[in-house]
Amino acid sequence: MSSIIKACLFGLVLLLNPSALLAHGGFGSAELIYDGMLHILLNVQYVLTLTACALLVSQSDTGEHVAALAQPAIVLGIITGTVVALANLDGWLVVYLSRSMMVILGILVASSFKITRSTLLFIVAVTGLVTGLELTTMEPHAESPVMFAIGAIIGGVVVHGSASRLAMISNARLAKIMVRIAGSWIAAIGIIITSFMFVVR
Amino acid sequence: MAKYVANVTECTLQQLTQISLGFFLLIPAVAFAHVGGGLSGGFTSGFMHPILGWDHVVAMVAVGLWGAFLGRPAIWVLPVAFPLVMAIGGAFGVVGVPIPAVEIGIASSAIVLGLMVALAVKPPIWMAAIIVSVFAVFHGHAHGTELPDAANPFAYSIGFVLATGMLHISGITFGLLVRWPAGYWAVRSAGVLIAMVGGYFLLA
Repeated sequence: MSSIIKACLFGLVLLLNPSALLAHGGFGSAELIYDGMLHILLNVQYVLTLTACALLVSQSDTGEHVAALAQPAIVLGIITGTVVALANLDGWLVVYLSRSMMVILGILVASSFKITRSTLLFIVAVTGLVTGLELTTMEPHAESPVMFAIGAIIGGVVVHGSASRLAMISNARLAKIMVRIAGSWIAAIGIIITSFMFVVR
Repeated sequence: MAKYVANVTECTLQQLTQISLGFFLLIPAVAFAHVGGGLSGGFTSGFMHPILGWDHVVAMVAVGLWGAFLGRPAIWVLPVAFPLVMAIGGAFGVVGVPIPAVEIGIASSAIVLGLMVALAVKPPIWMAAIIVSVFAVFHGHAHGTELPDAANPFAYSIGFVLATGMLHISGITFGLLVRWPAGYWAVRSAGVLIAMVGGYFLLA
């Protein structure tokens, strides 16, 4: 087990237990940051979308450099999305965009589509943007959107970074097949949950 | 704490696991995450839906078997194509778009895919993908029509996609026996069995 994985696991433990991380956690802004992080980490849709995005980055042949640039790109995207969403966007449209993004990312991973570095970074930034849009639109009553967004960014970076790192570790041919299959599963889940948006229950 | 964090990379996996478990014992809500009535119920019912229907089980396993039998790239193309097209069929079922003879299509999928393995048919990869995809629509539609009543649609979707994928992987795993002479005949015999089960469901 490499030191990086150990550090990631320990970081995850700390993220899941804010009283250890923040010392005086449990009130004020720390609580909101914690809410933002958990909102990402415990929401399957965000986890799957960000995982698909990370798998796509790791699939590219351009290597570590893109993975390193992907982190700031996704942070920038989430921040932009959070700011744009303050303009009271249509919730249905935002959720539709988010789920469509999940499908597109899944299909790109499943097909192992080769894309240029700039396009890849654009896709990563758009993923962050859509995540930020949905977070802020669907959580309009958060006491402090900024603190909540900070937490969400940390959560997003943790999910994206962990998935990206895990995918890069496994360079074996079987692992590459599994990544493609995982992409198809994510796209399939995305297609089905998107279809629910057209059902009047 | 700071000193401990600085030394974390020196921890063994066992120590790390113990620390993690200790933390989770202090915060059971985090340890149990989303376990609760709706979400877990939806996942369980979604996961069990393909597994409890033998017509689904044999067809999904047959997809993996055939993929492994055909070798690369079919070993990953078929299990990737199936869930994607199945989801489209599922979406049709969810929104109420009718597809005729769904049950016949599901039973036929087991017969056709079983026979492909049994007779060692090796078509071009694109043709194999089309055959699998056509049948995937029927399976997806059958799942989709039951989705709206599930406790949690999202969890149900994840459950049935995961179960489908795991059945494919089971088929692939068994199909990898094909590299040995005895395994080759075992895989082809499994194809015969799958076709027979499909025939039973077609007549039943």
